[in-house]
Amino acid sequence: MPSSTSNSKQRLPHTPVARFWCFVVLCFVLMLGVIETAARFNGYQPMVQDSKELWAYHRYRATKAGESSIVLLGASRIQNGMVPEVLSRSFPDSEIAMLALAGHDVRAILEDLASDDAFTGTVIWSTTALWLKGDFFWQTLTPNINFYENEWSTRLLLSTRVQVTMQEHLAMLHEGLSFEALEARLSGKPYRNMTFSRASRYRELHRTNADDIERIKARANAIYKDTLEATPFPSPEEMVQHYERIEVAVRTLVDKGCRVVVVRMPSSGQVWELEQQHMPKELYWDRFAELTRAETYHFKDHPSLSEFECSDNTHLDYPDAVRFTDAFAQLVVANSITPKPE
Amino acid sequence: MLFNSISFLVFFSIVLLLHYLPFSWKAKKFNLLIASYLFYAAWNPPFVLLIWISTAVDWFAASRMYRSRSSLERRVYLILSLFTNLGLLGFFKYGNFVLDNFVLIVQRFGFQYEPAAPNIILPVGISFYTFQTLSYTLDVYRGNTKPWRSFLDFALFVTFFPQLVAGPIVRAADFLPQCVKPHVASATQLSWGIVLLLVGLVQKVLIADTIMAPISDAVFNEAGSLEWHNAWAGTFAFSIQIFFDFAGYSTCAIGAALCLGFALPDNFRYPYAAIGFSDFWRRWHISLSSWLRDYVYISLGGNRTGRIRVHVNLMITMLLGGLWHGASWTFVAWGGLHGLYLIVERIADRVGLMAWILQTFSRRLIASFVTYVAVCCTWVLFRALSFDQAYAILKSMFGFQRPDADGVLGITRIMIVLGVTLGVIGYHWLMRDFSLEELAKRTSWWLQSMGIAVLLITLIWASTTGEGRAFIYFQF
Repeated sequence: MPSSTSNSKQRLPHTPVARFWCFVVLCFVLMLGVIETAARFNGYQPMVQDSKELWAYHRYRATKAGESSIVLLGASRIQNGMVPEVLSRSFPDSEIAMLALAGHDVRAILEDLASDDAFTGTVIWSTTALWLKGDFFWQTLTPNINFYENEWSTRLLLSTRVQVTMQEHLAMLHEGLSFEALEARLSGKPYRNMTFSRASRYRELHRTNADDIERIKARANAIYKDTLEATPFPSPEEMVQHYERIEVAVRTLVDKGCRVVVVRMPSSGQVWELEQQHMPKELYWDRFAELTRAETYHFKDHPSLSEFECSDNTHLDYPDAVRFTDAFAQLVVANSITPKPE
Repeated sequence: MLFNSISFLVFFSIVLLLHYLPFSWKAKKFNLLIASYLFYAAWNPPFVLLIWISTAVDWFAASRMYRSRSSLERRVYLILSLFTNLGLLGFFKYGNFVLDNFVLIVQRFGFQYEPAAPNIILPVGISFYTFQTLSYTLDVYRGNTKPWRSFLDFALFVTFFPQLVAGPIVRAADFLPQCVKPHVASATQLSWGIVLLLVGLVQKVLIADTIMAPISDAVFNEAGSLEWHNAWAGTFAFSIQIFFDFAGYSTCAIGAALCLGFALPDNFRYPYAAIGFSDFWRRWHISLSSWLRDYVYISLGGNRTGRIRVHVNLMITMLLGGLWHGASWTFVAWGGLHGLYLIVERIADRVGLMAWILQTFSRRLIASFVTYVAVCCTWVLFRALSFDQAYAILKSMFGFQRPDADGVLGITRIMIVLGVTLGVIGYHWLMRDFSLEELAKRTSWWLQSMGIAVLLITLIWASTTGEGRAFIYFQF
């Protein structure tokens, strides 16, 4: 053996191997227990960190489940407001895949699902006229779709599942205890994490009782005001061309046997007033509902969906999201928009 | 397949299990060979063909070369091996680079020539296995070694998965004799192998990826001028990141091989405690620097030529070493700067300066610090995407930043970099003439166990809360 070889028998440390590894396991379990207890004692609960791998995992499930899959599309309103675990109570034989992503436009994923021959399930898509306009600040989901198309593999499936399982059970892996969060705290920056992801990619919100809820509301109002007043909103007639662009994907989905359900998630307070002022329901949503081949549900049209107050005027808090999802699912079931049995 | 992935854990567990089943030695080696091809194919299956071509050509050329009595014939087989290996390397690694430079030159002469982009994919680890298999042919040509009888052993030498994609670059004389006698790892080897795997993974996942990468990325992704302390902090951060990324991979490779009962050579020996640049290259990427020394520098005449010629030889070797890392002029400049350092050190040695420095501890310490800082300046060229960016960062480092320079790093990040850098340099100094094995020998077993438990928890924490990254040296 050459002298430069670090691991030749002559140079190896001779430890009592069995005792050594037994003690490693013992120390590991004890340390893990102490750290986990300390994390929970300080208010941390297990949470799953959303990632492009987790998104791709749900995209994979959407195709794999075929006719029995239900995909949820949209941005933060549906990611916070529609609880897959609650929805699955009304659709027990379905696989529910949350493909919504806060701040992201649905067009790319809608077209992706339309072109995927293997996908034959149900699409539940949350939108407003603002999103349908198409030139809003939403980011596109194209990078996620490309990641799924080009990089998703059995290896990633395995590692994603293991990672998610660990995050689901260990509070010490909470995002608030990551190096990034610890570094932010060291810098004196407040680390606020009001969203709790789950393995289903549902993000739980608990804002109603937040100390600064009025500040959060004011910020949401300001963002909507700036956005809606930045450029003149297209007239109802001009909007038809925008509906048409996205309707191509809807038609393809419906033609291949998919069910497409469009839902207008609740908003309240000043945000709803601004929305009504710039894109009145009667002139925009109702017109869209007439033109599309998808089933449409506006929260204002159904008493069971209209009773909700959004904590920040735009998103539902978790307890309301549970009730909203339940009410919505009952409506969908009542209208026989259930996935075809296998 | 990355060492820091669940799929590798599953893959390696299966390979280990099969390796320890009571099969014949030949069956075990065959298992390792198939596993190695699968390991490589997990990245891009068609590129396994390139490894097969290199393996077959070098096996054939070396055995024919050995049997041949005519020096002309021997040279023909050597050229065949060089042409095949360097041809593949040249096409896949330097094809785009050559074309881009050709187009630039042609356009300089006023011709509007714009060829279609060739879109060549770089096969992962091609530089590593090409140099490894070439060393075998060159050794046979020089008469330093005889051709190996077993093709299975040779194919395993070229493909052995723990070090296939990012080294250490193993010599045939080190590896092939280990294929003769049936053996598996002893309990001590297996145990130490797992420890090394863990240490390597923590180096990579915690220090390189979680702590240092975001900081160096923040600095090197900044397009504008930087404040001088930001530029230094980003450069120090990259120096720590690249060390732990690459040394982490080498440690994992050595550990994984040891679990299977194979010994691989050291690749790093605490390089940031080097006193001078020749010392640095005896401690950094040892398997590459010794390869370049044995097959390039000595082939050019080495030290046995005149003073000027020795300097030219040094410079050529380091320029090629730079080019080996990547198809870009910034890598060539990186190698050139190291070549310049080595030449200056050689001159200093001749006038007795190095001997004077080595006399006292304080001089050695200062020289080591100067070496580290000078090496950091070269890392700017290594990490920067262009000469313009490298120039801007180097200017900022030496206080020539623009008045509107940006401060992309807060004080916390700068303090983290300083703390970790000083810690790493201090650790390298303490361990300068030691090895991890010797440290373990001097530490009680229960203390080691506690250390391993801490590493395990840290690894789980960092790998599930941080962002997973590929090893930097995969691109080479």
